[in-house]
Amino acid sequence: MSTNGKVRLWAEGLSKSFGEVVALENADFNLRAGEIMALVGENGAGKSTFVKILCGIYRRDSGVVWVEGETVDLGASGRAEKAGIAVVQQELSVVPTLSVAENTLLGQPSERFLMSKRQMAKQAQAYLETVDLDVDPNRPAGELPLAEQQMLEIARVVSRDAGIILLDEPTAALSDDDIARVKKVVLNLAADGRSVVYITHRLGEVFDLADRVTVFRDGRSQEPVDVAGIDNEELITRMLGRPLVQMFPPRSSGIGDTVLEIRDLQTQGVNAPVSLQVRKGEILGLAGQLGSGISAILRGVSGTQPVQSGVIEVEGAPCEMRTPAEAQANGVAYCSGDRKHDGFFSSRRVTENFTAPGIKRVTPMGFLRRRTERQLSSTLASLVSFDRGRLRHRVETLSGGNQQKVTVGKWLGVRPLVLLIDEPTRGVDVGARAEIYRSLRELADGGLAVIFASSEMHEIQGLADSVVTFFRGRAVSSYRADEVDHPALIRDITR
Amino acid sequence: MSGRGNLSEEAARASVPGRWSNVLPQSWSDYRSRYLIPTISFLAVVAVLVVGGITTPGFISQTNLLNTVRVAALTGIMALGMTFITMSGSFFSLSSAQTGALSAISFAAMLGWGWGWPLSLLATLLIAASVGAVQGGFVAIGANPVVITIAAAAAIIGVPAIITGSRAVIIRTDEAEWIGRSVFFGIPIQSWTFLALVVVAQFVLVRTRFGRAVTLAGANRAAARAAGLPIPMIEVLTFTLAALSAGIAGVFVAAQFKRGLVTTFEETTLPVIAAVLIGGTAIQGGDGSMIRTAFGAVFIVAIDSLLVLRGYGTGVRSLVGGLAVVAGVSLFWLARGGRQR
Repeated sequence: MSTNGKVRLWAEGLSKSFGEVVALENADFNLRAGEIMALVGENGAGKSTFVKILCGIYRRDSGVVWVEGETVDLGASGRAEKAGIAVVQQELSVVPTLSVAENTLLGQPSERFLMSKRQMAKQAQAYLETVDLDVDPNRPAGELPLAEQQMLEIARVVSRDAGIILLDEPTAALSDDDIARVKKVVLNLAADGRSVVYITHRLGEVFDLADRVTVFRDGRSQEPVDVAGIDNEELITRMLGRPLVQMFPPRSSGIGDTVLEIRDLQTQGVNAPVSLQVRKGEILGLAGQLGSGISAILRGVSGTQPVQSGVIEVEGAPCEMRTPAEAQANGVAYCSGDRKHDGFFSSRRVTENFTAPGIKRVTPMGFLRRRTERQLSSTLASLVSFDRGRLRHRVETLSGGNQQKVTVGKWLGVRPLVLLIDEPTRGVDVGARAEIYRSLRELADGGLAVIFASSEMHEIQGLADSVVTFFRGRAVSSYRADEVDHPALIRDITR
Repeated sequence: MSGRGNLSEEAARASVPGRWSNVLPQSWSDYRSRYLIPTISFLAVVAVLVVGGITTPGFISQTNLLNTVRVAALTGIMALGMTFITMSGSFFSLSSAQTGALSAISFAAMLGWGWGWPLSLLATLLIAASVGAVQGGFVAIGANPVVITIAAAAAIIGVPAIITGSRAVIIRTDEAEWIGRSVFFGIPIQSWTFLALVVVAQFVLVRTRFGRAVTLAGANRAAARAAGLPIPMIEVLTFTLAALSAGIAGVFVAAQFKRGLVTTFEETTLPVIAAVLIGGTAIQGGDGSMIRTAFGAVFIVAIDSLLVLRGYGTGVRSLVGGLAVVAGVSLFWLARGGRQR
């Protein structure tokens, strides 16, 4: 890795607005040959907009981009590719029904008109090796685990012979082992002389991987700095514009009686019957990696996936929860880990999102009362520290952190007894993360029982009152969170 | 507005988010997201009327306008019901025309049996609604709406075709003639009904729990289910409303022409769908309005009538109708912000 190579990409004065919302304002960026540049910033700081401009998904309002000393237009995705820029988007775009080889070579002009399966596999194999992906090239790509699909995407980008590779949160949905694999591949890419822009919310990765880091804040860029010259705290301060006083709110002592009790629950993804209980005012953390069964438990309890056996009691009374509506009627609300899929209504306004589950409260006798609706959404917004000035915006215009606040906050409209949250801060930046933790703690202090599932052990340790660790569909052990140490948690969830 | 003195006061009022802040556009992007699509629909209708009036003698004649308005009302009434389905994310019902024909035949037959018009009307609408409810029921338990309604279309038209031998059921009394032929203040009863239904349907869509649930179900079905909204009930009700609206159209036609015929609404399903799409309702649901659907219906029927007057055959008319849908849908896509979304 050389950190003083010549500049390969230079962008100056990039701006982009969506209506009234300024996503990017006069941002500058530079990238040297063969370096790994981390790109960090809070949600809504303009990182994703910047990436989408570079790969031609958005057209910039103003600004100039040079690649290898020449100005480039980037108006359409084909032109970005010609300029040697390739992107691995946050959402995987592997075509599940095509084979691994076909996916690798997708969109690439082939040397001849027709290619046999064997030729294709052979050609793809070379690229797959560069990312350490040892799988049968003829397998359908959809059969690969998530991490390998991620590698496959990188292989596809490598096959384009791109000199500039942008990775948008490549590790957001991966387990620790898989993250290590991705990191290794990224280092290899740079060693080959390619330039990598690595966007992440995990600040640890910045220090593990990057040569330099560019921080975006409120749509503006800051001068890139050498990673060797700063520490974690300073990086956070640069992102937030202020030091982060406290990531996790203090725990409270006011824990009451058991609200939800689960006995011998069995559902798909769980390999041994699970028993749990959560009390009024308590935050229970389920710790585990992808595939540990923690998400499945929450899905089962919330009626989102069928339960084979087991008893679920709310306030001592056994309940049937075959659908989300039934769970809700019993006081159990559930936020899935995939908020884009079923967490919010992206084309509708924030107000309508906030009042969706509690719609009966704003439609007495079936008729909508707009004033009541405004009041309720405004109340919910303040409960999750969502900016009330944005209640009329459509959710699709919000950053990930704000979307998560809407996703969680809407449930408070039905006054649940228990809130189940899968990965409460996936894809959420540091600042919004602290706000979400604080909201959850305040809600618990108000008498709500919270169960969250998380693969981030810092989050488990910092937020939960009690912890149950899971590995491959089985509970491992349970702790009081103020007694457990980080290594013990890691040991439990990785074995 | 009386003079300059009010300007500063108005400016002050505008800066405070008051009751008008919900109605008046705040900026170009606000205008675009809320009013651009209705404006386009409105201007398109005006353009067709103006161009038609100038270029085609007889287009603005009283008889032609009366007829256009009447036909537009029938297409429009069916399109209102259809809009509920589209808004909820279940695309379209392809059995609207057949439900309309079934209703026309039923109404004619019931009058023939001496049931009297009130009972015949009620029973006919009940039949139409039940036919829709059954289709909605199938969709609710997981059937594809397009497949189910195509199958339903064939079945719905099959039964009366067998019973009547595909011959017209003639209405021999005059008791129901007023339903089809009344004209108030120069405007046919169909159009008054249409106007009233636009208001009611729009109210239901934006100001009731049901309407909101329909909209949310279309905006994101999975999120709506997770939020505990009663998706099966929404399916049943939207298909019921669509069939009911087809039933109303069927009764009108039977009363106007004094007969019910298997082919009554032949080739009406597509104009109805076109009206919904040209009105700018998103095909995947979650965004649309009844008022816009109404404009869509008037637009599509006015164009068709213009082409008929100019002597074009079905080929040209069908082609233009298709192109209008393509143009409308593309335009609205751009108006919504194109690929920025």
